[in-house]
Formats: sequence, C-alpha cells, structure tokens
Amino acid sequence: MNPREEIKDIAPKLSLWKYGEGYKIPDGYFEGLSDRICERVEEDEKLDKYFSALPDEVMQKIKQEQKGKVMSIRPFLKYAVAAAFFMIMGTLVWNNVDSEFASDQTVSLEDSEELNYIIEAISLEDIFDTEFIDDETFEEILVNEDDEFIFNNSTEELLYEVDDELLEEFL
Amino acid sequence: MDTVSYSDDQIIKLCNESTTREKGFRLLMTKYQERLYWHIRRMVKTHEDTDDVLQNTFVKVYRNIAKYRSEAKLYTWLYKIATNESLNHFRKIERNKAISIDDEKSKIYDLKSDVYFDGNVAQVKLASAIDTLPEKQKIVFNLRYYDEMPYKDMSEVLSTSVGALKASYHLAVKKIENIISNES
Repeated sequence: MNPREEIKDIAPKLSLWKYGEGYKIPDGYFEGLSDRICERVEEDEKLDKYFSALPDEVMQKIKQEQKGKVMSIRPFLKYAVAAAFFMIMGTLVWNNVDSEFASDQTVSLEDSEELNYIIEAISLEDIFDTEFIDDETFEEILVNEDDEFIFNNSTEELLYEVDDELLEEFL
Repeated sequence: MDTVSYSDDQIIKLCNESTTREKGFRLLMTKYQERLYWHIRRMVKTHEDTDDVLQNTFVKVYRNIAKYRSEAKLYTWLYKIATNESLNHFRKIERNKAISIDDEKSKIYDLKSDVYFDGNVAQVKLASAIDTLPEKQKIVFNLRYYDEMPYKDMSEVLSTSVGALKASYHLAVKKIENIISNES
C-alpha cells in the first residue's frame, strides 16, 4: 500500500497535516559537502598510516634508548676492563716474580754459590755456639775435622737435619 | 559530475578500484547526500549535529565499501549506517549528560532555538509528538512517513521483519494522532 493511502487508513486526522518539517539548511551546504568529506577521509587516512606505523616507530625508539643506555656505560666499562686487565696482569707478574724468587732460592740452594759463601762465612765456632745442631751431628763434625766432610757433601745432605726456621733466624 | 547516469553497481565498481576510488566515492556522496542528510536530521534535529553524523556516516561508508554486498540495495545499506551513526550520536550525548525530568521541553527548546529551523506551530507540534516515541519506533515512523520507504527496504535497514515494522508503524501513527488531537 502507498504510504499516503496507508496513513489515511490508519490515522485520518494525521493525514490532513501538511508534510514538511520546517528544517532549513545553510546555503550551498551540499555543494561543498563531498569536498569536505574527502578532505576528512584524507586526514583519516594520514592518521591511519600514522597509527599503523606507530608501533614500529615506538619499538625502534625503545631499542635506540636501550642501545643508548648500553653506550652510556661503555666508557665506564672501558675503564673497568682496563683496571681488571692491570689487576690480572699485576697478579700474574707478582706471582711470577714470587715464584721466580722462590725457584731462584731453590736453585741457589742447589747450585749453592751463595750457600757456599754463607757456609764459608759461618765458622765452626759459630756453629758450635748455635743450638741448631744437635750433639750427635756436632760429634760427627768433630770426628771429620777436615773440611771435606762439609764441602764434599750435598747441600741437602748437609742441611737435612737443620731446622729451617732456625736457619732463617740465623741468617 | 552527472551522478544520475551512474548506476549503483557502476559506483560500487569505481569505489572498489584503487585508481577510481575517489571518483566513485564522490559520485556516491553526491547521489545520496541529501537523502541521508534528511534521514539523519529528523533523528538528531540540529544542522550542526546532522552535519557531524553525516560526515561520520560517509567516512564509515568509505572505509567499509569493500564489505558491501550487492544482495542488499545500496541505499538501504547507506541508511543502515546512517541510522547506526545517529544512534551512536544519541548514546554519546546520553553518556555526556544526565537526562533531566524536563527533557521533552529541552528538546523542543533546542528545536526552536536552532537557527536552521523555521517551522510553524503545527510542525513544532508534530516534531514534539514524534519525539515522545521510543527510539526505534521513531525511526520506523520517519522512514515510512517522511521517506515513504517500502516495508521490505525498511526491513533491510532495521533488520526487523516486515510484519513487526507494520505493527510498529501502526502504533506510532496512532500515538502521534492522539497527541496532536489532544493538543488542538
């Protein structure tokens, strides 16, 4: 059924009312409407592009910042590494010197040029006066009065019965 | 631009090609802008709000044109979007301000204070009577009374059966006639 006929049928009084609403529109409104909407669509598309690119840009920025933080501790890291290097080197050198010194001592004891000098410097009287040789040893020494006993035996043989601490104290 | 010579199918085809999208969209707007404007204006009343809702409607159409299926008429699809945008507009307003007891009076006051309204006493009465209808009934009344839309097309716009729409329109018309008869 036609809407005009229908309204007459349903509401005869209303059908007598004039159609028309009293609304007005600004002059030329529809002429510029499509341009305005196209501009808005363009703006929206720019925004869409901006928002679709935004997560990547944010992530890139976060990564750059993190990289920056790593960069900022690098100068300190450089000094820390340098300090650690010198400490390690220092420790190694010190240990080396120490062990060289220790081995030198061993060698010198074995090769005994220095020891010979020391032993030569010690007179029998000195030995006699000291407490680090026990009576038996002293008797042996007395039995072998010639110096061969002392100087023909190895240093280790000579010193095996001598207390290290007492020897150090003596020296 | 002669929009009359372009069928809906041709416009849609132009809209779906990236190289002719803007041309097709401009044709679509020029062809349907006035009908959609008045459909929205009857719902939201003021020109400024109508302009806002109409622009939102076309932006939404542009974004969703690829989803349009030719099983429905193009103009009913456009009306559907315009109707939804108008309802969204109301919901936004309702969220922003509490509804006062003299809401009906304020609606008439808004209508009278609108510089783009110069209706006579009868038109103000009719507008105020339509405003008393529930939202969906109001839309049904406007589509049938002013747009003279067939029930089948209204059914596509509102996703409601033809029988329910006929009953709704019948009730709306009776209510409005009662209001007008009592006031005069």
